Amino acid sequence: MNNCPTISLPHGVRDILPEEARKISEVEAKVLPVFESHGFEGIRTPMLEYVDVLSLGMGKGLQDQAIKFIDPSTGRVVAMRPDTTAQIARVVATRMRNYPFPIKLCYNQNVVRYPGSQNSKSREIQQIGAEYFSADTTPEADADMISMAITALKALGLENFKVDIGDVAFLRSILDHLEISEEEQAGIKNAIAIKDSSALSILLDKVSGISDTDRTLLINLTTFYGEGEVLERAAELVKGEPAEAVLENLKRIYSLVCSSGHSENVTIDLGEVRGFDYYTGTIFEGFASGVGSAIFSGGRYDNLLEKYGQSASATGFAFDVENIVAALDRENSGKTDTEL
Amino acid sequence: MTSSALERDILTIALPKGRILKDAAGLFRAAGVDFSQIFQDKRKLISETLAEGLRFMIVRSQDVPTYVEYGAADLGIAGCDVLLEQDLDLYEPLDLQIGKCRMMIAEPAELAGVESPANWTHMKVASKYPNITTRYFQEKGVQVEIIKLYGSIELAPLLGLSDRIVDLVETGETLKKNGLVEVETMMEISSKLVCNRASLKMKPKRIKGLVERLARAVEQEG
Repeated sequence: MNNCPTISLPHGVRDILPEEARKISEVEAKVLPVFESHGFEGIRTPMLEYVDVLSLGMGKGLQDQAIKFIDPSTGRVVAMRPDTTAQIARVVATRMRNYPFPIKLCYNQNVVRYPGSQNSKSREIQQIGAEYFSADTTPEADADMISMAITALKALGLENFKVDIGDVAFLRSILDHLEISEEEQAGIKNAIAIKDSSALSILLDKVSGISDTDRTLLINLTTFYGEGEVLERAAELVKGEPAEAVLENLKRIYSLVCSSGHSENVTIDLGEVRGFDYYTGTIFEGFASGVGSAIFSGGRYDNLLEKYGQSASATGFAFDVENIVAALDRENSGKTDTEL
Repeated sequence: MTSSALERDILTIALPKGRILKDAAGLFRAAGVDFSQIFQDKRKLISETLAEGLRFMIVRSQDVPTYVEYGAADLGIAGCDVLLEQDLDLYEPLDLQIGKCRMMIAEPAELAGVESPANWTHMKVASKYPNITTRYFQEKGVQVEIIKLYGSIELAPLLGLSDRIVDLVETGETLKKNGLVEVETMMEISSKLVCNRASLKMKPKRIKGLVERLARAVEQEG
């Protein structure tokens, strides 16, 4: 019998061998200078945090995904960071409170999460991200962040990708003025999240007090995805504030990103409600051909700093390095196929 | 092989092997997709119609959501039962109204009437759907021990393996023949069109076009 322990690794983590490590280094070497040239400075945050401190800024989704244990020396519950944004918000609101706005920070570090879905792959995710803190919320800030992400992807040589822009405040503003229960709101939101128009119309049939205009708008939200014309179609159906203001803001962001020469790479999805609980406005995600999940994601989180004692407008995003390497591999193998 | 540029315009669709396949093919035909060349050879698992830029593959029904979540297929057809059991991150843009059946709880006829569902506290349940079953009973405050089986669920209570079963029922014939009666319907099941998130973002026009065509076909068939 063999007495050696089985040489294996815990679920969801892996070794990265030189061939792949080289590819990752190339991504780092091309992306970080783009962020730096836009005035972002590097920051590092600790791998461990107290759960109660992290929980101030993190919604239940992320809290549940954190790997936690009890610190033997203090008896307090400690988590490995499941997300860097909330940590940076804590740093900006506390240690950096005397720095003048705007504050622009970027990072390149790993987060550790229990996978969200059964099929999910990695527990340890390398992220290269950027966070932008300012006194006011402006569409220009969101557009700059989106354009910077696109510039970085283009610097990597990636061609076939889309950045999809939405706004969590859009659906929220429609739901808020309906007189329905929280449970009904959640049901509607979940159906829209998976673009399930059939389930949505069954739900809406059961809820009383929804006008025909609102009903049409909600059902249409499941199809309001695609190119810029989606914004025009939505504008015809949206009446009244604050939904109109949200739509105007999105239009402005879309046209700013397009006029930076990125019109080929942006799409709109008004029915997108995914993402972290701390998002308050514009959200955006990057997708590439042949990679099944997002290559980066981000959004506005104007209420997060308040949780740590200071208020500021904020927006940011994080590249999923593994997925970006996969997208580059995919595109490069496609190119050699054509040449052959 | 096709060049990568062309590749990008092809939509790959995962269809489930078995009883749903025929109905699914019927819907695509009703949506105007020429299916005559598709799967003529029964051993071929992948087949394309170049005129439409559609590629079909046949996989086990439980595997459809996995193919779609990873992006190996852009779209797929999967039953609500499979989708709820696996709970993956997919879009579900259309209820196809095919493969209709019910998911229900059944028990041996001699147990019926002895113990009412309101008094359930703890029991053994045999099922192909451990996650759905656990969640359903949890909400009722009933603790269950799941006996996970892959088929012939009806046998479990007969052989004393479990007290009750959770399974799909179309007509109820199999239940009756095995001395089981229905206690409670848990949910209505039908098959849905599912879509990978990145595919929808990368090919919004093509996907929206196909969803709309299928939606019209569903209406006609209904």
